[in-house]
Amino acid sequence: MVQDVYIIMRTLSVKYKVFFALLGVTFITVLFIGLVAVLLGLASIKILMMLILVVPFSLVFAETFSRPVEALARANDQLKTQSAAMNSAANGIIITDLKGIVKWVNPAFTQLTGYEFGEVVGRNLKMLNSGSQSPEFFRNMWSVISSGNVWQDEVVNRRKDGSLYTEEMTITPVADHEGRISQFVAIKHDITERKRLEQVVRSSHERMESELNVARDIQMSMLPLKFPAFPDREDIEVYARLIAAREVGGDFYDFYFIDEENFCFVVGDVSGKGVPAALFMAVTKAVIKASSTNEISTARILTHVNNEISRDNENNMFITVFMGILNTTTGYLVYTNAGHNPPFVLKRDGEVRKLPELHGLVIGAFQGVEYKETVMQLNRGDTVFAFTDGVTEAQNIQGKLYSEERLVKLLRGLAADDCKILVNRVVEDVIVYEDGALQADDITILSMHFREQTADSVVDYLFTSISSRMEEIPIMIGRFEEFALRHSLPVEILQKINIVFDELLSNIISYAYKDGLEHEIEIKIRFYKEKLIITIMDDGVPYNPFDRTSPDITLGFEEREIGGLGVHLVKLLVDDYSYEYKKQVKKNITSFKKHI
Amino acid sequence: MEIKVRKTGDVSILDFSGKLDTGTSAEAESAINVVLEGGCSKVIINLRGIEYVSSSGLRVFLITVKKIATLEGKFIICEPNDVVTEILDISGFSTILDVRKTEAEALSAIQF
Repeated sequence: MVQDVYIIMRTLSVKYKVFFALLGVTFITVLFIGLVAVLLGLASIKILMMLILVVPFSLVFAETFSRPVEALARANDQLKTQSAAMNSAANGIIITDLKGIVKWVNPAFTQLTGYEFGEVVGRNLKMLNSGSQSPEFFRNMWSVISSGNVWQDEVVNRRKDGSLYTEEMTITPVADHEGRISQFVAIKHDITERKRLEQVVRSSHERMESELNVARDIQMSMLPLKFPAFPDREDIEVYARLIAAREVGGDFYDFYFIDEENFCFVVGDVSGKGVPAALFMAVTKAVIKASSTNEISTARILTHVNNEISRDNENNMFITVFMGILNTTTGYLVYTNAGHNPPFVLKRDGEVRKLPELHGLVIGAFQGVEYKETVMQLNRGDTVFAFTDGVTEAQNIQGKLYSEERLVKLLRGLAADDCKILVNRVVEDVIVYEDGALQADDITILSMHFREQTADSVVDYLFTSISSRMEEIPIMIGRFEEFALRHSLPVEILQKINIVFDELLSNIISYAYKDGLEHEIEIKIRFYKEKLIITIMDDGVPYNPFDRTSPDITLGFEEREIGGLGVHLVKLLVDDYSYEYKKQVKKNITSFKKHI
Repeated sequence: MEIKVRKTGDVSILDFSGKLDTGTSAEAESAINVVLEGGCSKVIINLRGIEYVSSSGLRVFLITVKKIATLEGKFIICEPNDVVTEILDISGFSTILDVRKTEAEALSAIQF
């Protein structure tokens, strides 16, 4: 009861507190005067005092005490409601004193921690400490709540059974009637399950991310990344970069020598992004490479590739491709543009020339498309600059495009003889332009430089062919003589090489063909500063002329056989010779070298 | 190739010029046959005008040397250029053929 009054008193306003104080003083004063009057026997004053005492007191009592009692009843009701709420709340609620000694807990607390009411009241809340938080953490907490502010954070605590759980705790300081902080109310919310789900989401995200990174690594590993790519070649320099917008993208590039002299390069851009685009890109790249092992017409290669790709293309994906094949002897560049953005040729004199032709639509869209090609003379010192639209369509923060104009302007000012510098300068410029804007598309650049003549490069060449008839041998010899005369080759060299032609070609014509038909024999003569390299290619039965053992040249004329003598002469007349059967093209490749 | 036939006494001298290879060996062979069939068994081939001889040409020489041996005649080639000399050497034909530097040398050798 006393406690109830005390609580009621605390709930009353200041006005009533003053009123009660005055009332007390009046009552005591009147009682004192009344007592004096009784002692002195002053009846009139007695009556007066009684009136003074009783009338106002009655009035005051009626006025005043009716209110606190009502308030008391109301407060009691409210208290019961709040108490019930606190008891039945799902969150653990604790009231502690200023030192953290527990004064009260609700049943949810018991459920959460395993500690019964009786086990915790009077003990310090530190008992829940799991040691997972630093002392600094709690120092900060105390500093916040001691200064009267609400503190909230996640805390890992220990249950009675020793297990750990994560709770979200809110501590509210409560001030007493004098405004001093007298206790704290802590509300605990178990978030172990939420944390677990967060962890599940996080780890599955991490796993996906790491798988995408693996996919990206695989994708990148499919691209030639080793530079310089052909340290042994003095005629070609190539450099390329691919900067993926997402973990995996649909851009690709590739380059390789189809044979000794034909250099093939490709840049492509698959519609879409992510894993499907990367897979489509991988397939296309593989098909292109497989289709160009024995073919040097980009039109024929891409026509074939398109038929392969579009046949089972259920997802209706497509890919833009620019493909070029440079004959490093002749400088002829054959190229096909299948819906790709046009590349540029950076001429030796600094001119930037666009290769605007389109030779067919994107790869993969329709079966049966016949692609075309363009042949141009690439001069030594020229550079081809091919790229995907991730370059020209890179956006800055305002959403403006990098643009072809800006690219051309940049290329005009750059020296084209170092592909690595060239490519990296453009990449830098695009990144500067984007200025932190999100890279929207993959950026791919491939640059190929056709180097200036070196001591090792071809001075002149003669690529020709004859049909497989004996009468054609003198024609071939005539062509070579003309070539040799033009370059003032020593007569002796000319004569020896004529013998070699006579021997090798007559062998082929006599023995290589079993079908009785005429065949084409290709002859490639490459004239370097100090040597001739001659290659003869025929599609006859596989036969290595150099395998044959030399005839015995010590025999007398009676026993002499003429067979094998020709090849014997060839071996002795040239400085080097080789034979190879190319299965893919079904051709005998016979080569020889002669120093001049 | 061009072939001219001269006669000095009982000796036939064939002047070959051009290339003696696959394309011309048949022609050379038949020219030699004409001479042999005419009853002459002392034959000199002057190679002064020959640029080179391939194995087809060597075959003609081998056939000729065999035929003349059966006729018990004499066969000499003369005035080969450096390349032809090299071919004759590396083929071993210089050991089975009588090769002379000059026609005069060949003529005096064939008389005996």
